[in-house]
Amino acid sequence: MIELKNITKQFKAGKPIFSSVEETFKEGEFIGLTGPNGSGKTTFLRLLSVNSFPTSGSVLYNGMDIHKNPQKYLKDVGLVHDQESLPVHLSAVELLEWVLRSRNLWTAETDQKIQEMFDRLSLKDDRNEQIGTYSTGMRKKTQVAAAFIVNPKILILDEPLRGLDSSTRDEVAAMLIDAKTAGALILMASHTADVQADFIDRVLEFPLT
Amino acid sequence: MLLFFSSALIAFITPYMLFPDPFAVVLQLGNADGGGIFRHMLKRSDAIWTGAIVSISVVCFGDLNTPFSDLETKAFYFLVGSLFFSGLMGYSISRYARSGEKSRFWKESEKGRDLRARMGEYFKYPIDPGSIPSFINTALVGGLGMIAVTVGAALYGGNGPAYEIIPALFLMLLAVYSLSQLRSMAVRNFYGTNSFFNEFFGETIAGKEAESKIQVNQLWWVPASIKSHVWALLLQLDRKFPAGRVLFVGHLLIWLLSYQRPAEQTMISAWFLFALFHHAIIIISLSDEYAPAWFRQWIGSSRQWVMVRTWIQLRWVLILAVSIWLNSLIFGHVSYPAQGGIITFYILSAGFISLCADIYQKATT
Repeated sequence: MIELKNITKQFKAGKPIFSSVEETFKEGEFIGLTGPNGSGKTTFLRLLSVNSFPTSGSVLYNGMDIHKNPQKYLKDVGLVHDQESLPVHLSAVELLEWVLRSRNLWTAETDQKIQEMFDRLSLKDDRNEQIGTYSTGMRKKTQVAAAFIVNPKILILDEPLRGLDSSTRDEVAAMLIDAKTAGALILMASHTADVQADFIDRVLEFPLT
Repeated sequence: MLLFFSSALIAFITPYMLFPDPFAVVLQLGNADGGGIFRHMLKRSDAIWTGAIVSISVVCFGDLNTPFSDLETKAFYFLVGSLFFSGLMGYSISRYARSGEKSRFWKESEKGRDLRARMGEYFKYPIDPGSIPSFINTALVGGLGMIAVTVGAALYGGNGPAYEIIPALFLMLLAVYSLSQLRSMAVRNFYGTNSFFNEFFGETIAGKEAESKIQVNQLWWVPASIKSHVWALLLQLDRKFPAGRVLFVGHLLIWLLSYQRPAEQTMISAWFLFALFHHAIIIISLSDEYAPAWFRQWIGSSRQWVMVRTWIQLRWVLILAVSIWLNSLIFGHVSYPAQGGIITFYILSAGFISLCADIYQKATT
Protein backbone atom coordinates (compact mmCIF):
# COMPACT_ATOMS: atom_id res chain seq x y z
CA MET A 1 0.00 0.00 0.00
CA ILE A 2 2.71 2.48 1.05
CA GLU A 3 6.32 1.94 0.10
CA LEU A 4 9.23 4.05 1.28
CA LYS A 5 12.03 3.86 -1.27
CA ASN A 6 15.45 4.83 0.01
CA ILE A 7 14.08 7.77 2.01
CA THR A 8 16.50 10.24 3.55
CA LYS A 9 15.44 13.36 5.39
CA GLN A 10 17.85 15.94 6.70
CA PHE A 11 17.38 19.60 7.54
CA LYS A 12 21.09 20.17 6.94
CA ALA A 13 23.42 18.17 4.72
CA GLY A 14 25.33 15.57 6.71
CA LYS A 15 22.89 15.55 9.63
CA PRO A 16 20.13 13.12 8.63
CA ILE A 17 17.07 12.61 10.81
CA PHE A 18 16.88 9.22 9.11
CA SER A 19 18.59 7.90 6.01
CA SER A 20 18.03 5.30 3.28
CA VAL A 21 14.83 4.00 4.89
CA GLU A 22 13.13 1.15 3.06
CA GLU A 23 9.73 0.17 4.43
CA THR A 24 6.45 -1.26 3.22
CA PHE A 25 3.16 -0.73 5.06
CA LYS A 26 0.20 -2.87 4.09
CA GLU A 27 -3.59 -2.59 4.29
CA GLY A 28 -4.98 -3.38 7.71
CA GLU A 29 -1.62 -2.96 9.36
CA PHE A 30 -1.28 -0.96 12.59
CA ILE A 31 2.15 0.60 12.97
CA GLY A 32 3.16 2.23 16.24
CA LEU A 33 5.91 4.84 16.27
CA THR A 34 7.79 5.32 19.49
CA GLY A 35 10.96 6.99 20.70
CA PRO A 36 12.17 9.94 22.73
CA ASN A 37 11.31 13.56 21.96
CA GLY A 38 13.15 14.86 18.90
CA SER A 39 13.93 11.39 17.54
CA GLY A 40 12.12 11.96 14.24
CA LYS A 41 8.62 10.48 14.78
CA THR A 42 6.81 13.68 13.85
CA THR A 43 9.12 14.32 10.88
CA PHE A 44 8.40 10.77 9.68
CA LEU A 45 4.63 11.30 9.95
CA ARG A 46 4.89 14.77 8.36
CA LEU A 47 6.67 13.10 5.45
CA LEU A 48 3.84 10.59 5.09
CA SER A 49 1.23 13.34 5.32
CA VAL A 50 2.97 15.49 2.64
CA ASN A 51 3.74 18.20 5.17
CA SER A 52 7.42 17.50 4.66
CA PHE A 53 9.29 16.47 1.53
CA PRO A 54 12.15 13.96 1.45
CA THR A 55 15.72 15.06 0.82
CA SER A 56 16.02 12.01 -1.40
CA GLY A 57 13.98 8.91 -2.21
CA SER A 58 10.25 8.62 -2.68
CA VAL A 59 7.09 7.54 -0.91
CA LEU A 60 4.75 5.52 -3.12
CA TYR A 61 1.05 4.92 -2.48
CA ASN A 62 -0.11 2.06 -4.70
CA GLY A 63 2.77 2.98 -7.02
CA MET A 64 2.03 6.74 -7.07
CA ASP A 65 4.57 9.23 -5.69
CA ILE A 66 2.63 11.00 -2.93
CA HIS A 67 4.76 14.15 -3.06
CA LYS A 68 4.02 14.59 -6.76
CA ASN A 69 0.28 13.95 -6.38
CA PRO A 70 -0.67 15.22 -2.91
CA GLN A 71 -4.37 15.70 -3.57
CA LYS A 72 -4.96 12.23 -5.04
CA TYR A 73 -3.18 10.69 -2.08
CA LEU A 74 -4.77 12.84 0.65
CA LYS A 75 -8.21 11.85 -0.63
CA ASP A 76 -7.67 8.51 1.13
CA VAL A 77 -5.98 9.86 4.24
CA GLY A 78 -7.32 10.85 7.66
CA LEU A 79 -4.98 12.98 9.72
CA VAL A 80 -4.44 14.02 13.29
CA HIS A 81 -1.73 16.67 12.99
CA ASP A 82 0.85 17.48 15.61
CA GLN A 83 -0.39 21.10 15.50
CA GLU A 84 -3.87 21.78 16.84
CA SER A 85 -4.53 24.48 14.23
CA LEU A 86 -8.29 24.44 13.90
CA PRO A 87 -10.51 27.34 12.81
CA VAL A 88 -11.56 28.91 16.10
CA HIS A 89 -14.80 30.46 14.83
CA LEU A 90 -16.36 27.22 13.57
CA SER A 91 -18.04 24.67 15.81
CA ALA A 92 -16.81 21.08 15.71
CA VAL A 93 -19.97 20.05 13.83
CA GLU A 94 -19.51 22.82 11.26
CA LEU A 95 -15.84 21.88 10.79
CA LEU A 96 -16.76 18.27 10.02
CA GLU A 97 -19.50 19.41 7.65
CA TRP A 98 -16.93 21.58 5.84
CA VAL A 99 -14.42 18.70 5.70
CA LEU A 100 -17.02 16.40 4.14
CA ARG A 101 -18.41 18.98 1.73
CA SER A 102 -14.90 20.02 0.68
CA ARG A 103 -14.10 16.38 -0.07
CA ASN A 104 -17.42 15.88 -1.91
CA LEU A 105 -18.49 13.30 0.65
CA TRP A 106 -21.61 15.09 1.90
CA THR A 107 -24.87 13.13 1.70
CA ALA A 108 -28.25 13.35 3.39
CA GLU A 109 -27.13 10.88 6.07
CA THR A 110 -23.82 12.48 6.96
CA ASP A 111 -25.30 14.89 9.47
CA GLN A 112 -26.41 11.88 11.50
CA LYS A 113 -22.97 10.34 11.07
CA ILE A 114 -21.33 13.47 12.51
CA GLN A 115 -23.63 13.39 15.55
CA GLU A 116 -22.86 9.70 16.13
CA MET A 117 -19.13 10.38 15.85
CA PHE A 118 -19.30 13.06 18.54
CA ASP A 119 -21.59 10.91 20.71
CA ARG A 120 -18.95 8.22 20.56
CA LEU A 121 -16.20 10.68 21.48
CA SER A 122 -18.34 12.19 24.27
CA LEU A 123 -18.22 15.69 22.84
CA LYS A 124 -21.66 16.65 24.06
CA ASP A 125 -23.41 20.04 23.78
CA ASP A 126 -20.08 21.76 23.15
CA ARG A 127 -19.99 20.27 19.67
CA ASN A 128 -22.10 23.23 18.59
CA GLU A 129 -19.94 25.85 20.34
CA GLN A 130 -17.04 27.60 18.60
CA ILE A 131 -13.76 25.66 18.70
CA GLY A 132 -12.04 28.74 20.16
CA THR A 133 -13.81 28.00 23.46
CA TYR A 134 -12.63 24.36 23.64
CA SER A 135 -10.21 22.76 26.08
CA THR A 136 -7.16 20.86 24.79
CA GLY A 137 -8.98 17.54 25.11
CA MET A 138 -12.04 18.81 23.21
CA ARG A 139 -9.82 20.07 20.40
CA LYS A 140 -8.16 16.69 20.23
CA LYS A 141 -11.56 15.01 20.01
CA THR A 142 -12.44 17.32 17.13
CA GLN A 143 -9.20 16.42 15.36
CA VAL A 144 -9.82 12.72 15.87
CA ALA A 145 -13.38 13.06 14.57
CA ALA A 146 -12.17 14.96 11.48
CA ALA A 147 -9.69 12.16 10.75
CA PHE A 148 -12.24 9.34 11.09
CA ILE A 149 -15.26 10.97 9.48
CA VAL A 150 -13.87 10.59 5.94
CA ASN A 151 -13.59 6.76 6.23
CA PRO A 152 -9.91 6.89 5.34
CA LYS A 153 -7.87 4.05 3.90
CA ILE A 154 -4.85 5.43 5.74
CA LEU A 155 -4.84 7.02 9.19
CA ILE A 156 -1.82 9.11 10.17
CA LEU A 157 -2.05 10.07 13.81
CA ASP A 158 0.47 12.12 15.77
CA GLU A 159 -0.22 11.71 19.49
CA PRO A 160 -3.99 11.28 19.00
CA LEU A 161 -4.58 10.26 22.61
CA ARG A 162 -2.74 13.16 24.25
CA GLY A 163 -5.05 15.20 26.46
CA LEU A 164 -7.94 12.72 26.30
CA ASP A 165 -9.62 11.30 29.40
CA SER A 166 -9.39 7.54 29.96
CA SER A 167 -12.89 6.67 28.72
CA THR A 168 -12.37 8.64 25.48
CA ARG A 169 -8.97 6.98 25.03
CA ASP A 170 -10.69 3.61 25.22
CA GLU A 171 -13.26 4.77 22.70
CA VAL A 172 -10.58 6.02 20.29
CA ALA A 173 -8.77 2.68 20.68
CA ALA A 174 -12.04 0.94 19.75
CA MET A 175 -12.39 3.20 16.70
CA LEU A 176 -8.83 2.35 15.68
CA ILE A 177 -9.56 -1.37 15.93
CA ASP A 178 -12.72 -0.90 13.81
CA ALA A 179 -10.71 0.98 11.17
CA LYS A 180 -8.00 -1.68 11.16
CA THR A 181 -10.62 -4.42 10.80
CA ALA A 182 -12.09 -2.52 7.85
CA GLY A 183 -8.66 -2.65 6.18
CA ALA A 184 -7.22 0.79 6.99
CA LEU A 185 -3.50 1.23 7.38
CA ILE A 186 -2.81 3.06 10.66
CA LEU A 187 0.40 4.85 11.59
CA MET A 188 0.35 6.27 15.09
CA ALA A 189 3.04 8.07 17.05
CA SER A 190 2.46 7.94 20.75
CA HIS A 191 4.03 7.33 24.12
CA THR A 192 5.47 3.90 24.71
CA ALA A 193 2.54 2.81 26.86
CA ASP A 194 0.06 3.52 24.06
CA VAL A 195 1.94 1.65 21.36
CA GLN A 196 2.29 -1.52 23.43
CA ALA A 197 -1.37 -2.34 22.95
CA ASP A 198 -2.32 -5.79 21.62
CA PHE A 199 -3.80 -4.51 18.40
CA ILE A 200 -0.54 -2.95 17.21
CA ASP A 201 1.15 -5.15 14.64
CA ARG A 202 4.57 -3.56 14.49
CA VAL A 203 6.50 -0.91 16.38
CA LEU A 204 8.99 1.38 14.68
CA GLU A 205 11.58 2.53 17.20
CA PHE A 206 12.96 6.01 16.67
CA PRO A 207 15.57 7.18 15.96
CA LEU A 208 15.54 4.88 12.93
CA THR A 209 18.95 3.33 12.35
CA MET B 1 8.53 56.89 -6.73
CA LEU B 2 5.63 55.12 -4.99
CA LEU B 3 5.84 52.35 -7.61
CA PHE B 4 9.62 52.22 -7.25
CA PHE B 5 9.26 51.51 -3.52
CA SER B 6 6.33 49.19 -4.11
CA SER B 7 8.61 46.98 -6.20
CA ALA B 8 11.04 46.57 -3.31
CA LEU B 9 8.22 46.02 -0.84
CA ILE B 10 6.51 43.35 -2.96
CA ALA B 11 9.81 41.59 -3.60
CA PHE B 12 10.52 41.28 0.13
CA ILE B 13 7.12 40.85 1.67
CA THR B 14 5.62 38.10 -0.52
CA PRO B 15 7.21 35.02 1.09
CA TYR B 16 6.46 36.30 4.61
CA MET B 17 2.88 36.95 3.59
CA LEU B 18 2.33 33.48 2.12
CA PHE B 19 4.47 31.00 4.08
CA PRO B 20 4.41 29.16 6.37
CA ASP B 21 0.67 29.06 5.94
CA PRO B 22 -1.23 28.72 9.24
CA PHE B 23 -4.26 27.38 7.34
CA ALA B 24 -2.34 24.49 5.75
CA VAL B 25 -3.63 22.00 8.33
CA VAL B 26 -7.24 22.92 7.66
CA LEU B 27 -6.74 22.90 3.88
CA GLN B 28 -5.36 19.42 4.24
CA LEU B 29 -8.31 18.22 6.33
CA GLY B 30 -10.62 19.38 3.56
CA ASN B 31 -8.17 18.12 0.90
CA ALA B 32 -8.61 21.35 -1.07
CA ASP B 33 -8.16 20.99 -4.82
CA GLY B 34 -5.80 22.98 -7.07
CA GLY B 35 -8.32 25.74 -7.74
CA GLY B 36 -9.12 26.11 -4.04
CA ILE B 37 -5.47 26.26 -3.00
CA PHE B 38 -4.67 28.70 -5.80
CA ARG B 39 -7.50 31.02 -4.73
CA HIS B 40 -6.44 30.67 -1.10
CA MET B 41 -2.88 31.81 -1.93
CA LEU B 42 -4.16 34.81 -3.87
CA LYS B 43 -6.58 35.72 -1.07
CA ARG B 44 -3.74 35.86 1.44
CA SER B 45 -2.42 38.88 -0.44
CA ASP B 46 -5.81 40.64 -0.28
CA ALA B 47 -4.95 43.01 2.56
CA ILE B 48 -1.74 44.24 0.94
CA TRP B 49 -3.35 44.47 -2.49
CA THR B 50 -6.33 46.43 -1.16
CA GLY B 51 -4.03 48.75 0.80
CA ALA B 52 -1.94 49.38 -2.31
CA ILE B 53 -4.94 50.08 -4.54
CA VAL B 54 -6.36 52.48 -1.93
CA SER B 55 -2.96 54.25 -1.73
CA ILE B 56 -2.74 54.52 -5.51
CA SER B 57 -6.27 55.92 -5.69
CA VAL B 58 -5.47 58.45 -2.94
CA VAL B 59 -2.34 59.55 -4.83
CA CYS B 60 -4.24 59.77 -8.14
CA PHE B 61 -7.56 61.23 -7.00
CA GLY B 62 -6.62 62.91 -3.72
CA ASP B 63 -6.50 66.39 -5.22
CA LEU B 64 -8.66 68.29 -2.74
CA ASN B 65 -8.42 71.67 -4.51
CA THR B 66 -9.71 70.50 -7.88
CA PRO B 67 -11.14 67.04 -7.28
CA PHE B 68 -13.13 66.87 -10.54
CA SER B 69 -10.58 68.35 -12.94
CA ASP B 70 -8.59 66.25 -15.36
CA LEU B 71 -10.41 63.07 -14.34
CA GLU B 72 -9.36 61.21 -17.48
CA THR B 73 -5.66 61.70 -16.72
CA LYS B 74 -6.18 60.75 -13.09
CA ALA B 75 -8.07 57.60 -14.09
CA PHE B 76 -5.33 56.73 -16.58
CA TYR B 77 -2.62 56.93 -13.91
CA PHE B 78 -4.79 54.96 -11.50
CA LEU B 79 -5.04 52.26 -14.18
CA VAL B 80 -1.27 52.29 -14.77
CA GLY B 81 -0.54 52.06 -11.03
CA SER B 82 -3.10 49.31 -10.43
CA LEU B 83 -1.90 47.22 -13.37
CA PHE B 84 1.71 47.69 -12.30
CA PHE B 85 1.10 46.70 -8.68
CA SER B 86 -1.26 43.79 -9.45
CA GLY B 87 1.04 42.45 -12.17
CA LEU B 88 4.18 42.58 -10.06
CA MET B 89 2.41 41.11 -7.04
CA GLY B 90 0.94 38.24 -9.10
CA TYR B 91 4.34 37.47 -10.61
CA SER B 92 5.95 37.58 -7.17
CA ILE B 93 3.36 35.21 -5.66
CA SER B 94 3.83 32.81 -8.53
CA ARG B 95 7.63 32.77 -8.24
CA TYR B 96 7.76 32.35 -4.47
CA ALA B 97 4.99 29.73 -4.41
CA ARG B 98 7.01 27.60 -6.82
CA SER B 99 10.34 28.00 -5.03
CA GLY B 100 10.02 25.17 -2.46
CA GLU B 101 11.64 22.36 -4.41
CA LYS B 102 14.75 24.31 -5.43
CA SER B 103 15.11 25.87 -1.99
CA ARG B 104 14.96 22.46 -0.36
CA PHE B 105 17.59 21.11 -2.73
CA TRP B 106 20.04 23.87 -1.81
CA LYS B 107 19.28 23.62 1.88
CA GLU B 108 19.53 19.86 2.30
CA SER B 109 21.94 18.64 -0.39
CA GLU B 110 25.70 18.14 -0.26
CA LYS B 111 25.99 20.72 -3.03
CA GLY B 112 24.27 23.25 -0.77
CA ARG B 113 26.58 22.40 2.12
CA ASP B 114 29.68 22.91 -0.07
CA LEU B 115 28.31 26.23 -1.23
CA ARG B 116 27.63 27.30 2.35
CA ALA B 117 31.20 26.44 3.33
CA ARG B 118 32.68 28.30 0.35
CA MET B 119 30.53 31.38 0.92
CA GLY B 120 31.26 31.31 4.64
CA GLU B 121 34.98 31.26 3.85
CA TYR B 122 34.71 34.01 1.24
CA PHE B 123 32.27 36.41 2.91
CA LYS B 124 33.04 35.44 6.54
CA TYR B 125 29.27 35.15 6.96
CA PRO B 126 27.28 31.92 7.05
CA ILE B 127 24.67 32.24 4.31
CA ASP B 128 22.03 29.52 4.28
CA PRO B 129 22.02 28.12 0.72
CA GLY B 130 18.30 27.31 1.15
CA SER B 131 17.61 31.03 0.98
CA ILE B 132 19.36 31.46 -2.40
CA PRO B 133 16.22 30.91 -4.53
CA SER B 134 14.40 33.47 -2.35
CA PHE B 135 17.23 35.96 -2.80
CA ILE B 136 17.08 35.41 -6.57
CA ASN B 137 13.31 35.94 -6.51
CA THR B 138 13.72 39.10 -4.45
CA ALA B 139 16.29 40.51 -6.86
CA LEU B 140 14.29 39.45 -9.91
CA VAL B 141 10.92 40.80 -8.75
CA GLY B 142 12.38 44.00 -7.29
CA GLY B 143 14.63 44.55 -10.33
CA LEU B 144 11.80 43.87 -12.77
CA GLY B 145 9.57 46.40 -11.05
CA MET B 146 12.28 49.06 -11.04
CA ILE B 147 13.13 48.44 -14.69
CA ALA B 148 9.42 48.72 -15.54
CA VAL B 149 9.23 52.09 -13.75
CA THR B 150 12.37 53.33 -15.54
CA VAL B 151 11.17 52.10 -18.94
CA GLY B 152 7.77 53.69 -18.30
CA ALA B 153 9.44 57.02 -17.54
CA ALA B 154 11.58 56.76 -20.68
CA LEU B 155 8.54 55.94 -22.85
CA TYR B 156 6.71 58.87 -21.31
CA GLY B 157 9.62 61.19 -22.09
CA GLY B 158 10.08 59.95 -25.65
CA ASN B 159 6.56 59.24 -26.85
CA GLY B 160 4.06 60.82 -24.49
CA PRO B 161 2.11 59.80 -21.37
CA ALA B 162 -0.09 57.15 -23.05
CA TYR B 163 2.95 54.93 -23.61
CA GLU B 164 3.65 54.72 -19.91
CA ILE B 165 1.03 51.98 -19.65
CA ILE B 166 3.07 49.55 -21.79
CA PRO B 167 5.40 48.25 -18.99
CA ALA B 168 2.41 47.94 -16.62
CA LEU B 169 0.52 45.90 -19.24
CA PHE B 170 3.61 43.76 -19.77
CA LEU B 171 3.80 43.04 -16.01
CA MET B 172 0.12 42.12 -15.95
CA LEU B 173 0.49 39.72 -18.88
CA LEU B 174 3.57 38.19 -17.27
CA ALA B 175 1.60 37.69 -14.05
CA VAL B 176 -1.33 36.06 -15.88
CA TYR B 177 1.02 33.65 -17.68
CA SER B 178 3.03 32.89 -14.56
CA LEU B 179 -0.03 32.41 -12.35
CA SER B 180 -1.60 30.08 -14.92
CA GLN B 181 1.53 27.91 -14.61
CA LEU B 182 1.22 27.98 -10.82
CA ARG B 183 -2.47 27.09 -10.99
CA SER B 184 -1.82 23.95 -13.01
CA MET B 185 0.48 22.60 -10.26
CA ALA B 186 -0.94 24.51 -7.30
CA VAL B 187 -1.36 21.58 -4.88
CA ARG B 188 2.13 20.18 -5.31
CA ASN B 189 3.74 23.61 -5.22
CA PHE B 190 1.76 24.67 -2.17
CA TYR B 191 2.67 21.64 -0.05
CA GLY B 192 6.27 21.66 -1.29
CA THR B 193 6.89 25.34 -0.61
CA ASN B 194 4.93 25.46 2.63
CA SER B 195 6.87 22.50 4.03
CA PHE B 196 10.14 24.16 3.04
CA PHE B 197 9.34 27.44 4.78
CA ASN B 198 8.08 25.57 7.86
CA GLU B 199 11.34 23.68 8.09
CA PHE B 200 13.48 26.63 7.03
CA PHE B 201 12.34 28.84 9.86
CA GLY B 202 12.52 25.98 12.36
CA GLU B 203 16.04 25.11 11.30
CA THR B 204 17.12 28.73 11.11
CA ILE B 205 16.24 29.11 14.77
CA ALA B 206 18.48 26.23 15.77
CA GLY B 207 21.27 27.40 13.48
CA LYS B 208 21.20 30.99 14.62
CA GLU B 209 21.13 30.08 18.29
CA ALA B 210 24.52 28.54 17.83
CA GLU B 211 25.93 31.14 15.48
CA SER B 212 25.06 34.69 16.37
CA LYS B 213 22.90 35.11 19.41
CA ILE B 214 22.65 38.64 20.79
CA GLN B 215 23.61 38.79 24.47
CA VAL B 216 21.67 40.99 26.90
CA ASN B 217 24.80 42.93 27.84
CA GLN B 218 25.40 43.86 24.20
CA LEU B 219 22.34 46.11 24.40
CA TRP B 220 24.17 48.96 26.15
CA TRP B 221 21.93 51.50 24.44
CA VAL B 222 18.75 50.19 26.06
CA PRO B 223 17.56 51.37 29.51
CA ALA B 224 17.95 48.67 32.16
CA SER B 225 14.21 48.55 32.94
CA ILE B 226 13.31 47.31 29.45
CA LYS B 227 16.59 45.65 28.44
CA SER B 228 15.39 42.05 28.89
CA HIS B 229 12.15 42.72 26.96
CA VAL B 230 13.99 44.38 24.06
CA TRP B 231 16.45 41.49 24.04
CA ALA B 232 13.68 38.85 23.92
CA LEU B 233 11.87 40.58 21.06
CA LEU B 234 15.07 41.23 19.09
CA LEU B 235 16.10 37.58 19.36
CA GLN B 236 12.77 36.47 17.94
CA LEU B 237 12.54 39.10 15.21
CA ASP B 238 16.10 38.54 13.99
CA ARG B 239 15.56 34.82 13.70
CA LYS B 240 12.41 35.13 11.64
CA PHE B 241 12.92 38.29 9.65
CA PRO B 242 16.25 39.35 8.09
CA ALA B 243 15.63 43.03 8.79
CA GLY B 244 19.29 43.96 8.37
CA ARG B 245 19.39 42.59 4.83
CA VAL B 246 16.07 44.17 3.92
CA LEU B 247 17.21 47.58 5.14
CA PHE B 248 20.58 47.19 3.43
CA VAL B 249 18.78 46.77 0.12
CA GLY B 250 16.60 49.76 1.02
CA HIS B 251 19.70 51.90 1.48
CA LEU B 252 21.04 50.60 -1.82
CA LEU B 253 17.85 51.61 -3.61
CA ILE B 254 17.96 55.12 -2.17
CA TRP B 255 21.58 55.46 -3.29
CA LEU B 256 20.59 54.25 -6.77
CA LEU B 257 17.85 56.84 -6.82
CA SER B 258 20.18 59.62 -5.73
CA TYR B 259 22.69 58.59 -8.42
CA GLN B 260 20.06 59.67 -10.96
CA ARG B 261 20.31 63.21 -9.52
CA PRO B 262 16.63 63.87 -8.77
CA ALA B 263 15.39 67.16 -7.27
CA GLU B 264 16.23 67.78 -3.60
CA GLN B 265 12.57 67.53 -2.63
CA THR B 266 12.33 64.08 -4.23
CA MET B 267 15.35 62.85 -2.27
CA ILE B 268 14.03 64.26 0.99
CA SER B 269 10.66 62.54 0.37
CA ALA B 270 12.48 59.30 -0.42
CA TRP B 271 14.40 59.44 2.87
CA PHE B 272 11.20 60.21 4.80
CA LEU B 273 9.42 57.27 3.16
CA PHE B 274 12.37 55.00 3.84
CA ALA B 275 12.49 56.14 7.47
CA LEU B 276 8.83 55.20 7.76
CA PHE B 277 9.41 51.86 6.00
CA HIS B 278 11.74 50.81 8.87
CA HIS B 279 8.76 50.72 11.21
CA ALA B 280 7.18 47.78 9.38
CA ILE B 281 9.17 45.82 11.96
CA ILE B 282 6.91 47.23 14.69
CA ILE B 283 3.87 45.89 12.83
CA ILE B 284 5.53 42.50 12.46
CA SER B 285 6.21 42.43 16.21
CA LEU B 286 2.46 42.63 16.89
CA SER B 287 1.98 39.04 15.83
CA ASP B 288 1.13 36.44 18.47
CA GLU B 289 4.12 34.51 17.22
CA TYR B 290 6.45 37.09 18.82
CA ALA B 291 4.27 38.40 21.59
CA PRO B 292 1.70 35.85 22.79
CA ALA B 293 -0.83 36.90 25.41
CA TRP B 294 1.24 35.80 28.43
CA PHE B 295 4.28 37.70 27.11
CA ARG B 296 2.23 40.84 26.61
CA GLN B 297 0.81 40.55 30.12
CA TRP B 298 4.27 39.92 31.56
CA ILE B 299 5.65 43.15 30.14
CA GLY B 300 2.40 44.75 31.09
CA SER B 301 1.91 48.46 30.80
CA SER B 302 1.42 50.36 27.59
CA ARG B 303 4.27 52.70 28.54
CA GLN B 304 6.67 49.72 28.73
CA TRP B 305 5.49 48.30 25.40
CA VAL B 306 5.77 51.63 23.59
CA MET B 307 9.28 52.06 24.97
CA VAL B 308 10.30 48.52 24.03
CA ARG B 309 9.11 48.86 20.43
CA THR B 310 10.61 52.33 20.05
CA TRP B 311 13.97 51.20 21.38
CA ILE B 312 14.02 48.25 19.01
CA GLN B 313 13.87 50.76 16.18
CA LEU B 314 16.68 52.88 17.60
CA ARG B 315 19.27 50.32 16.57
CA TRP B 316 18.93 51.47 12.96
CA VAL B 317 19.13 55.20 13.65
CA LEU B 318 22.91 55.57 13.47
CA ILE B 319 23.13 53.65 10.19
CA LEU B 320 20.34 55.79 8.76
CA ALA B 321 22.02 59.02 9.88
CA VAL B 322 25.41 57.99 8.45
CA SER B 323 23.83 56.87 5.18
CA ILE B 324 21.97 60.18 4.72
CA TRP B 325 25.06 62.20 5.67
CA LEU B 326 27.40 60.29 3.32
CA ASN B 327 24.88 60.32 0.51
CA SER B 328 24.41 64.06 0.85
CA LEU B 329 28.15 64.60 1.07
CA ILE B 330 28.63 62.82 -2.27
CA PHE B 331 25.52 63.88 -4.17
CA GLY B 332 24.69 67.08 -2.26
CA HIS B 333 20.94 66.50 -2.16
CA VAL B 334 19.88 66.97 1.44
CA SER B 335 20.80 69.92 3.66
CA TYR B 336 21.91 69.43 7.28
CA PRO B 337 18.63 70.80 8.72
CA ALA B 338 16.70 68.39 6.48
CA GLN B 339 18.93 65.52 7.64
CA GLY B 340 18.14 66.44 11.24
CA GLY B 341 14.46 66.59 10.35
CA ILE B 342 14.52 63.09 8.85
CA ILE B 343 16.25 61.60 11.90
CA THR B 344 13.89 63.39 14.29
CA PHE B 345 10.94 62.16 12.21
CA TYR B 346 12.35 58.62 12.35
CA ILE B 347 12.54 58.63 16.15
CA LEU B 348 9.19 60.34 16.72
CA SER B 349 7.40 58.15 14.19
CA ALA B 350 8.85 55.03 15.89
CA GLY B 351 7.25 56.23 19.15
CA PHE B 352 3.99 57.18 17.47
CA ILE B 353 3.63 53.91 15.55
CA SER B 354 4.53 51.96 18.71
CA LEU B 355 1.78 53.82 20.54
CA CYS B 356 -0.75 53.12 17.74
CA ALA B 357 0.37 49.46 17.70
CA ASP B 358 -0.22 49.18 21.42
CA ILE B 359 -3.66 50.79 21.22
CA TYR B 360 -4.57 48.48 18.33
CA GLN B 361 -3.34 45.40 20.18
CA LYS B 362 -5.21 46.27 23.37
CA ALA B 363 -8.39 46.99 21.40
CA THR B 364 -8.29 43.70 19.52
CA THR B 365 -7.47 41.32 22.39
